[in-house]
Amino acid sequence: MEPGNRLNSDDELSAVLNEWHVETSLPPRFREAVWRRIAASKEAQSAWNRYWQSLFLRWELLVLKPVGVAACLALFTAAGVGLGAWHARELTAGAQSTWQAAYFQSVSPSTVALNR
Amino acid sequence: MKRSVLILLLGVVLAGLAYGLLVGPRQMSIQEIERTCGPELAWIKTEFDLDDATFGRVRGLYEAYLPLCEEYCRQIDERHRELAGLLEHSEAVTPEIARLLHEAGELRARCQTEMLKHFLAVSRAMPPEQGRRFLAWVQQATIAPVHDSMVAHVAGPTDDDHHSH
Repeated sequence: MEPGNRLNSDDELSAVLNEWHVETSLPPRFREAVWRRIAASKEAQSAWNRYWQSLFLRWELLVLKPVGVAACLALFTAAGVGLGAWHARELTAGAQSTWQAAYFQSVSPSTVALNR
Repeated sequence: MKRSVLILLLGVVLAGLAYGLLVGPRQMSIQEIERTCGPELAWIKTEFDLDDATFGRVRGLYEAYLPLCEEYCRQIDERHRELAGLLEHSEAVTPEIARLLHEAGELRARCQTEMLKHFLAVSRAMPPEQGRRFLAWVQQATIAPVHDSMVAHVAGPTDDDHHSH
């Protein structure tokens, strides 16, 4: 840009910006599309809320009776046992694999290197 | 509502407790085995379920074998270093290069012989069934052929081939 063309103050810049008009036409039925999108987003949000509310309501109904409470607690415990057993097995398998590699590396480094 | 949230929390606590009771002791047991046996021998101790007396014999054999193994490795590495030095300045297989290759091969064969003797001694130190299983494992991992990919027709069909037909 030439030095003479530089804008000397914020006021000049504001004046230029005020004169600047974008001349383009909006797509057909632009406003209607925007409102439709807003409505769809609200609808999705409220459907999600309704889903959680109904889930919580079901949960409350379930734990009204002692049998329901016992069943839920048993289910949670079983999930903990299942997850714990799986993770414990994974830990053992991981350790065994590391130990096995360490053993073979120590007794037969050249063979381990050749087999890689 | 308060009651149902409390029950939910109680369920989560119970699940966490069950998980912790299974994972915690296992983690501690792994650390304990590694501390007492060392990572190199922990595999033998656990995989072959050795009692303390048997494990003591295996450990003794292992500790006697290690210096021998290290000495062979040192000598093989030395030949390889010499070989690398010669190959930098040579465009043909000179008698010196051939000699070093021959020596390295001979050392490797002697090293493998000692290793095999060690494995056999370890297997004899174990109860017979575990000993056989140990030999099968180590044979597969250390003496297994390494040229299969180059001359597959010489090695014969593999297990995978059998499965694929």
